[in-house]
Formats: sequence, C-alpha cells, structure tokens
Amino acid sequence: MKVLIVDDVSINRDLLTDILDEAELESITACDGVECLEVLEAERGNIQAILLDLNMPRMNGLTTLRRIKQDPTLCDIPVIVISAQGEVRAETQSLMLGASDFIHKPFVPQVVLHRVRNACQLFLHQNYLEKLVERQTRELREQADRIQQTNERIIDILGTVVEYRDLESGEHIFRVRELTALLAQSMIALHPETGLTKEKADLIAAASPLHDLGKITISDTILLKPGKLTPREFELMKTHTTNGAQMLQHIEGVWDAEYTQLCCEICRHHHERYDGRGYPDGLKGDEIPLSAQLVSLADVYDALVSKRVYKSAYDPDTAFQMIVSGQCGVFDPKLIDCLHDAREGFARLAHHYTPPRVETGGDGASLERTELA
Amino acid sequence: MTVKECYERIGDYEEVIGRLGREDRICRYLGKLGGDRTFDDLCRAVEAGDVEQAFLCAHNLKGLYLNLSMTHAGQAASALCEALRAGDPDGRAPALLEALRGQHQTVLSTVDELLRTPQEGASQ
Repeated sequence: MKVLIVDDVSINRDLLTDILDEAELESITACDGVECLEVLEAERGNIQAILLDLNMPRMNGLTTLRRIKQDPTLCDIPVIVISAQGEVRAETQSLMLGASDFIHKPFVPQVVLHRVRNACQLFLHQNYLEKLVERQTRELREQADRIQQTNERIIDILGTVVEYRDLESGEHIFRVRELTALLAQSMIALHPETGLTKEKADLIAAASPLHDLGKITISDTILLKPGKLTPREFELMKTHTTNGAQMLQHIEGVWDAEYTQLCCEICRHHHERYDGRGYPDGLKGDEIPLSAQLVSLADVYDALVSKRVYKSAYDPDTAFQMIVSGQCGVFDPKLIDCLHDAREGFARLAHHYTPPRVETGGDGASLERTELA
Repeated sequence: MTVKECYERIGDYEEVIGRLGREDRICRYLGKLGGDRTFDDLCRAVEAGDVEQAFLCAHNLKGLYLNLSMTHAGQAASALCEALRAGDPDGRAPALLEALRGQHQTVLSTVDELLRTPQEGASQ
C-alpha cells in the first residue's frame, strides 16, 4: 500500500516523500490533478491515502478531490489536503467535499506523519470491517436459505408421513401446496384489500402440507374405512384438526412464533366453512384465517379430483362446478373469484402433477398404495 | 557560512530547525531551490498579464518559502499572491513582483554561498 503525494512543486514532493520514507511508508508522486487520477487508475487498490495540494496547473486540488469522491471505487481513500496558511475558505471547501484532514504550510513533518498514519489506519480498519460485514452477511443469507430449505423439507416429510398413513400417495399434499399457491397468487391480484403479500403467500403455501397432520392421531379403523363414517366416527375424525394444532403447539424451538401460529391455524381451521357450518369451532366469514380458507379450498378441490378409498375421482370441470354451486360447503365469494381466476391452472395440476421426491420410505410405496386402493 | 548564518539573512533559523529537525536535511532542500522554475514562470505570467497563472505561481512560491522558513521572501510572495488573488485591481503586481525578485535573488545568492561552504557534518 502506498501514499500518493500530489503537488506541482518538486521540492514539496521531495519534502513529503522524505517524511514518509523515514517512517518507512512507501509513496508515489503526481505533479497535478490529471496525473493524480492517472496514478490512481494505474495503482488501483494500492493507494491507502492521498496528500493533495490545492493550487496546481491543469487540474486543481478541489476539482481532483471532487472527482475522487464521485468515483465509487476511489471515494473511500482518505484525502489530506495541504495548503498555505490563512486559506480558511479552501479548508472549509475541502472538508465539505470529503477531505479527511487539512494540513497548513509550512508543515511540521511529525504532524504530517501522524495525520497520514491516522488516516491510513482508519482506511484499513474501515476496509477490514466492510469486508467482514460483507462476508458475514453472505454467510447469514446462506444459512437462512439452508434453514428455510430444511424447514420446508421437514414440513413435507411430516405431511408425507401422514399421507402414507392415510394410504394416499403423498401427491395430495404437494398438489395442495401448488393449488394453495395459485389461489394465493389470484387473491393478491384480485383482492389486494385482504392485505395478503407475496411473502405471506409463500409461507402459507410452504405450511400447507401440514394441514392434515392431526390424522396421525386417528385410528386406522376410522381413517381407512371405505364406507360412510357413523356420526360417532365422524366426531372422532373431526378431532384431527384440533389434534394437529395441539401437536404443533408442542413443537418448540424450531419455528418462530408467526410461523407456528400460521401452521396451527391451517391445521385447526381448514375444515371451517364461510357460513359457520364447518368445524371444529364453527367460525364464520372473516373469523376464519385467510390461510386456512386458502388451504381449505385447495384441499377440497384436490379431494374431488383424486380417487379415495370412499370415492372415485371427478374430472376438473365437475369438481369446479361442485365447489362453485356450493355442494362442498360455502366459501368466501372472494375465494370463489380466485377459483375462477385459477381454474385453468387448477385443471392442469389435477391432470399432470409429478411431486418432488421425498424419501420417507421404500420406493415402491406409491405403487403399493395404488394396488391397495 | 553556516546554515544559521544563512538564515540570519533570509529567514528564521529556529523555526526551520524546529520543524525540519536536521541541518543536512535543510541543505538538501535548499540545494533544490536553484533548479525550481516557479519564479521564472511567475515573471512570464505577470509580463503576459495572465493573472490566473501568476497567482498560481505566486501561491506556490509562498508555500515553498514558508516551508523552508524563508520569512522575507515568503512575505513578499504572500503580498503578491493576495494582490493577484483579487485580480490585481490596483495594478500593483509588477511592483510587488520587483520586491519579490529582490528577496528571491537574496535567497538564491545566500543559499549558493552556503552550499559552496564545506559543512562540518550534520548537527542538530
């Protein structure tokens, strides 16, 4: 690292060079502003401070200072302006333009030396800190990304475990996630008054695979019963909503409060209906969290277009009509708007969907389930 | 002639030795004065009526003299510098230049005499 000395009087350059030389500080000289900028270009990254005279031919010190401070690659280099005594205006101007310090002629070598050293140390320290912050920010971002990915994988795995228990293929939860994302996208576009943001929509879609988590607590005789459930069985079946939310509340230290809350409301309320006739709490209208409403419609649609132990699959058009006509319970009209908007995307997902591979068990699980079903 | 005797004619010995510390160092810079062309540039600029260029030269000379504690020449350069900074409204620049020329020549001839005198090693 060198100190750049800029002065058009050679004796001054020699004087300053000697001062720095005696303190073993390497220097390089330029005889005016134009040459100063040329040296800065040629010695890019190698100059740690500039000693700058003001009155010089071709390009004076103030213009040079302005040019340096306007260049994002140079502006951090400390500039110490040197000029004759009594130049109060020049001193003010220099400092306003970003000079770090001002030295009067006749100068005292020890003072010059100390000021140069201070400026260099600050510059190097600042550079070090900036690089450190940059590196740490990058590492934090990478860690956050990794945590986010792991988080989504864990949710997928949890969701898939439940699906396999239910003898479903595991595709259901992935399709529900995609359908939820499509609905949320439409909601942002058509009903911005709901306050739904892209970030919240992403969180809702990522959390949606957990909606049936509570089914893990339901016995096989009910969960896998091919025929209609008795009222008693249905009551037990309904508890998968509250049980799921309860399980999530016991998971501590993995997700932040907002995320846990989101997962819980999806688990608990994805069977609520807009007219209050759903379960478990009989919430009405906007009492039902938007997250749960979105997942709820996605879940119902996917149940309709999928083959289940108790029913065959409907085609996308029939499924769409059944929901719109209210045969599957009442949904918020805003949500029905979104379903209209996302209709094509929904149909595409119903026909062609290849879920991402989640390793929760043997590779033959999907085939086995199909045979069983 | 000693450095001290030299400075008795051209400026302030105590000040220069206080700042620059050593006589050999002072002599090294004094030795470079003869090669400096700023005074010639100043004369040409005043003659051509180039106030801006003349100001630049006078300013540089002022800095140079003051850095070497050549008080008399420094004051003369400063007076010319201030007249030129204002654009020389009273036309005093040529007269001030002549005053400076006298000081400048004193500096050069005294320094010349000093440098021709063999010095007895560096002293503080």
